[in-house]
Amino acid sequence: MTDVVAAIQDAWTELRIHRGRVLMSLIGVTVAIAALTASVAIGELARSTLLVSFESQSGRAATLSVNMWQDQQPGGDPFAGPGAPSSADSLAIIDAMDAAVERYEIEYSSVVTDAQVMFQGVSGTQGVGVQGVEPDYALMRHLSVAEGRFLIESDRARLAPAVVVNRGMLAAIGGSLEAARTVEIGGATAVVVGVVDRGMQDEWPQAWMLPRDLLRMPDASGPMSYVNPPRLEAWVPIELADDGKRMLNQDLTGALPGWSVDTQRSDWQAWGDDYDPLLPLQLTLVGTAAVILLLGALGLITVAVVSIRQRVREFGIRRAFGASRGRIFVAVMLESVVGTVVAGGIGIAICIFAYRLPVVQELLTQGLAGAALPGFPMAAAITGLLVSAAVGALAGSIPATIAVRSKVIEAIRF
Amino acid sequence: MPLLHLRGVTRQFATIDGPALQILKGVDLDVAAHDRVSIVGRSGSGKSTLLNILGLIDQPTTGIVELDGEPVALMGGRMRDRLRGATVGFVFQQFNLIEGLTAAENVAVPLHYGAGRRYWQRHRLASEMLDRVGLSHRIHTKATHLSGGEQQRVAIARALVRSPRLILADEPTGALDIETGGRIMDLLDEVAVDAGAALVTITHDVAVAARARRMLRIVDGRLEATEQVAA
Repeated sequence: MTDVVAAIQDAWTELRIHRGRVLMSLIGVTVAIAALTASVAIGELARSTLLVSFESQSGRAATLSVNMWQDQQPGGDPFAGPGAPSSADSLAIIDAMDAAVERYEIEYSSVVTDAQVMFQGVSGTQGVGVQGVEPDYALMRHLSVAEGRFLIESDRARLAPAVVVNRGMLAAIGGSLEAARTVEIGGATAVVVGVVDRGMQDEWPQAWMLPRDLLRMPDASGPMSYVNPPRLEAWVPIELADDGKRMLNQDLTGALPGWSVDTQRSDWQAWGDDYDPLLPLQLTLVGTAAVILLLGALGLITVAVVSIRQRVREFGIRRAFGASRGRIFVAVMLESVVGTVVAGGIGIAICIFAYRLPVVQELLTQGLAGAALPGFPMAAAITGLLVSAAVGALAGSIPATIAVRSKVIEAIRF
Repeated sequence: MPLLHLRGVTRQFATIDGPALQILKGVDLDVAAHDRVSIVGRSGSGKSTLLNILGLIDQPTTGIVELDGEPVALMGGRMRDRLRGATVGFVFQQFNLIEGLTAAENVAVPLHYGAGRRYWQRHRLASEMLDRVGLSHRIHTKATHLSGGEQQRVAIARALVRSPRLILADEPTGALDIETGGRIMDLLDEVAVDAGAALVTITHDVAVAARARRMLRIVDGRLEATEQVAA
C-alpha cells in the first residue's frame, strides 16, 4: 500500500517539478482526447437523437400494433374502401381492446384513433389533425410536455374533454395556456391542459385527446371529418412480443366478429438486429479521432524520451538510495499515466463545457424536442478517460524502459 | 563479524576492441561497525569501482562480498536494492541533489523506498535531519538555491535519514573549498559517530583521508594499508 502511494507521490512530484515540459507535451494529448471524446459523444448523441426520433415515429421496442378492418360484406362492392366506421363500431372496438389489455395485464398501451376536425382559432376556423390516445402514449412515443400536462386517467371523468395541443395549435388559439384555457374543436368545447413540444415537427397544428372523447365529438363522424378505425399499441417486453402478437390477434378476432385483425411489431428494432444506420458515421468519427490521438501520443513519446535522458542522474540517485528497477519503471510510467489522465480529464471537461453551450446544443440536437435533450453521453467521457490512461501507459513504457536500463553509477556520473 | 567482508575481489570490464580491463585485482577488506576507513588513490586506480561494490551497486567479477556474513552474490537484484537502501547511505562529490525538489524533499527521497511507517513520517524525519546538519532555516529552499556547502549538508542529511549502518562518501569535499570542506568533514564525522555508522571515505585528498582511523591506498587495483591514524 505504502509502495503504491509513494509511487503515485513520486509521479505527482515529478509532474510538479517538470510542469512546464509536462504542460507542453500534454497539450497535444488534451486536444486529441477532446477530439476523441467529442467524436464518441457526437456519435452517441446522433444515435440517441435518432433512437428518440425512431421511437417517436414507430414506438419503443417492442411495440405491438393491432390494426383492424371491416370484412367485405357478401354482395358488396369489392372495390369500395372500408370507409369510416361508425362511432358505435369504434367504441365496441375500443371496449374489446381495453378488455384485452386488462386480460393480459399489459402495463403500457394506448388505443389510437386519428381524426381531422375543425377548430376555432384567433384568426378563424381551420383544420387540425387530432389523435385519440391514452395517457401512456406520451411515454411510449416520447411526447414531451413543455407546459401543463399530458392526458391523465382522471380526464376520462371530465364533462368537457381535455385536449393537449402542440406549439403550432397553441399559436393558433392565442399563444399561451393562460390566453387559451378552452378551445372550440370538432363542434365541442375542450379544455386545453397541456402543450407538447416536438421541435420542428410542431409547425402545423396538432392535438391529442382521449379516444372516447374524440369519438364523441359532434363533428368527428360528420361529412367533413374522417376517423380511422381504432388501433391498439402495446409496449411489451421484447421477449414477450411473439406470444403477445399471437394472443392479441386471437383474442380480438374472437371478440369482434366481422372484423379482421392484424398484429405486427411496429418499432424500428423489428426491422432487423444488424441494422445500425449510424455505424458508418461513428466509425468515421472515431477513425479520425484515433489518427489525432496517434499524433498526440507520438508527440508525447518524443518529448518523454528526450526528457528522460536528462533525468538519468536522478534515476541513479534514487537507485543508490534503494529504489528498485521496477519502482523506477512504475514511477516513470505513472508520471505519464497521471499526466495523460489529467490531460484527458481537461479534454473531456472542454467537451462537456462546449456541449452545454446553447449554440452547440442547437447544432447537435436539431429537431429533437427541448425537454428530451439527452445529457452528455457518459460513455464518451469514460471512453476518453480510459483511452487517455492507455495512451499514458503506452507512451510511458518507452521512457520507463530507457530509465531502468541505465546503470546506477554511470547514471550518477551522467 | 565485520559489517562488510571482502576477499579476493576482482572486477574487470570488457572492452570493444581489446582485452578486458582489469580494475580490481584481488581486494581484501573488512569494515567493522563504527569503523572509520579512508581509501586514497590516483584517478583511474579503481576507487569508484570499489565504492560501487562496497555500496552493493556493482558486483565483483570474482571474489566474495559479505554483508553481515551474508554473501551478496546470492541475493537477487531487488533484495540488493532493498538492502542498499536500508544499510548504506551515500554522499557524493557533486552532491547529486535532485533539482526542483526542496532541501526537505531531497532528504526524504530515501524514505520513499523504506518501511511504511518511515514513509508516512518523512516530513518530520527530514526536518529533524536538516536541523541536525544546521539547515533548519533552509527546509523549503530549492536545492539549486543552496550554496555548495549547504548542498553537501543536505546530501549528508539524506545519507543519514534512514539510519544506515554504513556511510560511503565519494570525494565528499571534492567540490568544496578547503575551509568548507573541513567543516563538512567535521560534520560527517560527528553525525557518523552519533548515528553509530561505519564511515568509508574515498578521496584523493590525503588531508581528508588522514582524519580516518585507518587509511588505505589503492594501487594498481590492490588495496594496501598505509598507516594507522589515531581516531
